[in-house]
Amino acid sequence: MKRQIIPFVWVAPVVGVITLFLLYPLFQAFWDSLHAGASGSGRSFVGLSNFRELLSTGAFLGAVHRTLIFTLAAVTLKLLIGGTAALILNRPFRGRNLLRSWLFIPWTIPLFAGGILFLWLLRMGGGLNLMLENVGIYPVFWLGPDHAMQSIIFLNVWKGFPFFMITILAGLQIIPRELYEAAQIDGATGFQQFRYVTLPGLRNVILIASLLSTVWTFAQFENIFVLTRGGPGTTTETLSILVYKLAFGMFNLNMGSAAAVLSLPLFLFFIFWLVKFVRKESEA
Amino acid sequence: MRASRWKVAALVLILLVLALAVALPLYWAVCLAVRPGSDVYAKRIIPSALTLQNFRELIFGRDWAGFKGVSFLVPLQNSLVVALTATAISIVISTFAGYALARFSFRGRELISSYILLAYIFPPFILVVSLFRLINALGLHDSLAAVMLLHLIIVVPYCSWMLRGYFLSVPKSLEESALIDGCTHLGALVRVVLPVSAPGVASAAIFSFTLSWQDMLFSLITLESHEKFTLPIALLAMAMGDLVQWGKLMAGALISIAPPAIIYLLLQRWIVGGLTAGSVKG
Amino acid sequence: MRYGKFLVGMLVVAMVLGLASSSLAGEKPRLKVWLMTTFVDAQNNWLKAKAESWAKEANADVDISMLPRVAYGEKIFAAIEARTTPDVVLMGEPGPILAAELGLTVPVDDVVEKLGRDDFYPRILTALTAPDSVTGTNRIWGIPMFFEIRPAEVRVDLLEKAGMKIPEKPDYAWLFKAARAMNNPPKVYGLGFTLGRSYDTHDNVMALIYSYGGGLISDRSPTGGNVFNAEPTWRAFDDLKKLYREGVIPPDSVAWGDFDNNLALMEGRAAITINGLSTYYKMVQDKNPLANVTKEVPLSGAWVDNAGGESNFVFKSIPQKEALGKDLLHYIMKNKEDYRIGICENAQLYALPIFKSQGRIISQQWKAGKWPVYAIDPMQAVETAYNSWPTAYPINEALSVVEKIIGSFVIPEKMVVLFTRNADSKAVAKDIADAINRELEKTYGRK
Repeated sequence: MKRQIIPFVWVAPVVGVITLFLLYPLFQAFWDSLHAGASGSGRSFVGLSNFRELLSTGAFLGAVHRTLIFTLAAVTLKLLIGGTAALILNRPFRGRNLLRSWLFIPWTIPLFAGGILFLWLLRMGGGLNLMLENVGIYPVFWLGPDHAMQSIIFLNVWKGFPFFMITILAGLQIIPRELYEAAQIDGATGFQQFRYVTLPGLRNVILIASLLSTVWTFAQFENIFVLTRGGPGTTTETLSILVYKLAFGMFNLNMGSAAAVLSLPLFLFFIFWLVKFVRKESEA
Repeated sequence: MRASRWKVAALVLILLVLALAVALPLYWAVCLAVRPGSDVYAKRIIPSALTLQNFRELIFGRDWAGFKGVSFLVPLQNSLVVALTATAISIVISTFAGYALARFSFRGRELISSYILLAYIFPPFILVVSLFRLINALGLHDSLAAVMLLHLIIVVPYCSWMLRGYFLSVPKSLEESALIDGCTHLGALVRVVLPVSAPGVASAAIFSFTLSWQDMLFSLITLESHEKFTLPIALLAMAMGDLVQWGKLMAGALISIAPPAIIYLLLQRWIVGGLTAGSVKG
Repeated sequence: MRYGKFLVGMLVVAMVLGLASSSLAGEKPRLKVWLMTTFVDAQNNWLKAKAESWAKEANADVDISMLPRVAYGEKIFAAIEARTTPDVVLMGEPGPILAAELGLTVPVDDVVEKLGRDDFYPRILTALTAPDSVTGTNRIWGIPMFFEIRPAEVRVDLLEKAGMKIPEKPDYAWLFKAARAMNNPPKVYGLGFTLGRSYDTHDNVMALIYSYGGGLISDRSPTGGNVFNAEPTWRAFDDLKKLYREGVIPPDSVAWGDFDNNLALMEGRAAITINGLSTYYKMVQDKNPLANVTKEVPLSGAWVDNAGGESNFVFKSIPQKEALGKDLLHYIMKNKEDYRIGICENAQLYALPIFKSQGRIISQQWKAGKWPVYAIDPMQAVETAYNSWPTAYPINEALSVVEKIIGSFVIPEKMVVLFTRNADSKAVAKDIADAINRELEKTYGRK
């Protein structure tokens, strides 16, 4: 009997934390989204009208659009850059460890600090433009409406590629050498080896890293907020920025909750696949 | 042979270009932080003089947000206290949970594991409005205690998931012999498993610390008084305040980068293990 | 040893929570004060010192949070929404009318009486007058800190080079002409007009629209915003768009915050900006040589200024704290000479006094040549100006909707679309009018 109680007691605090700070707020968000007005006497039930307003003004759909672009572009770039770096780092050469440590640095920098660094780098009179001016190129308005989205993608990729680099590097080192040797004996070229030995061996690693990164990139707030705050206008307003703006910028907690609730389906779509994949792996 | 040497050189060149891109923002930050204030608008790429004036003003000047307030060391301290507390609490409760999920088979085990995984990757922004309400309802508005509590939801799921994975990979033989000898489960955990698992636990603790260190969203919705600011909010106040003093802002950014960066560079060995064992945010 | 670890953990948690939570209440009453800071250090420090000396005299404690403008703007509304408001707000905008309409603040008519109602410029009292949420009678809900007029800052050296001078009654038509004449990108842009996420954007755009005969809100009904979607607005948008396309307004102005236009003037990047004198104050402080060739030119036709913006108000709590709060408000203003010097003069007249007695002194000073930077008598401009917020025209009453519209940057957000995507002026005007109408309906219902 006692043996049965112990595991429940031991997991209780963690389950409690998650329930209090995740499950309960989630229900609260649903509840809030169906109401309007400040808490207390001013509150009233308004059904789906918050959702209707969000969807009819295009604010929400615009944010979804921007979030998808941001997420897809950033994850793809991180995968390509990190993967390339991993492939190159997998070969021995002098100074390899030093280079690897150096390339790891952006990942150690706190998210908000990265945003601060880029604030200077990309502003009109800032680092990048000063360097461009010195080579005779007209300064570019990086944080303006035309390039703001590229700027936040750049920041996210700069900060996040080491994750892919390290994970894929670890994955490369697990692939048995014999497979490469066998392929070489069969006369496979470098490229064929890559295609038929490396990529399949990396399949799981790439899949899980990409899924995780997609969810985290989707949830990005700090970087974007510090660099552009969703601006100029709404050009870099992703879902996370929209929720914050509605709740704390436009003083409408109910609308913010509505936007948060509407963001769930997209997120659930991603984690469905992730949980499925991870559970399959842990059972294997 | 020579052809492959050129090939390697070309590949390394690609990495060097990447390394340059990594270095660029940092170069500018260091540049601005150590050059005198007047130099900022002088449009030079290489500083004309080096000075620690910005750091001095931040730490002793107390005037980093447009008025005479507290030293910049206060937000640094606040971030430290919050991160250490959240990490400490999290390690304790996650060790118990992770071990239980790894070793015992009980009904709901898979469900709870999935619950924790879900919490690990759940986007905080979806919860932020409700958490704001919750903190106010608890009367903890504008308190560091609130930030510590909120950081638990960032740190605990990661810790639990990580430690669960780690304990799954530790061979059962040690505990089994201890249990046969009449040890309780708690005793087995504390006296047999934990010493062996020190690297995994340490790795989890390090990551938890950095996760808490870099949160800005939860501090943003909770804190108001300058004396309670954590580093991200302090920097935000400097960046979005009145006249932005770039030198001081970069100095402050470097101060906030130092602790996690130093920890990572010193403890690289364990970090790489932790990354692959549990996967961390990227 | 068994549960030792567990117990130690719990102990740590308890200790930390105990230490970190709000401090123990002392014997003396404690007022929580939010002070919104501005570009002008002198004002921030003067107010802080005043609050602290009041605390000593009244034998109370003050817990002052200094909040920069952006932080304050978000926090006040979140606080109102969540009922975690401070006891007193100093120099805060927005907030007073929204809080008043929700019945969260105490009327300060008695403070006004004690300071001498007749000595206030009537316009400043209108700015903070609104019906009591329960009784419906008009009450005053805050004490404004100052008038802030928004003249155009003009670089007279560049003006001279362009062969122009400041006329008797300068208006927007002249201003645009001067901007085009002085335009020399990328070194110098003619008109540093903020179009980004800033209160300046709202004020500047509305000033232009008012001068063309337009309006923002006509009444409290759900169609009160339709007055915005009219010819004067469309013309204002078109004129600004032309200036932007011609490169007279710098292209990055759509990303400007509250102080980028100040910076543009100080760095010599803009020949004209439209702002309060906070920029001039900073230039004098920094001994910026451009201060000597800058003149403040109030434009005729329409004046928009901040009356009722940046005001002091008291939240409801317990009677003792409310009385103390009102006492603090009174204390700040009661020495009017000190107020004039500390808030207005030390700020290089970025701020103008709300009292007629002090205004007369300023006029005399100007006539005697003390404030050469002003092209005309600033107090004269004060007397003929329109209120900006929290009032709107043509309704000319204080509305929380105005605070919300301004505070949530409804107009600036649309400016990006209007200027960089060259959107149709009528479509953008309609979007903004619709947003205003939605807010009106949510706040005042379908009357």
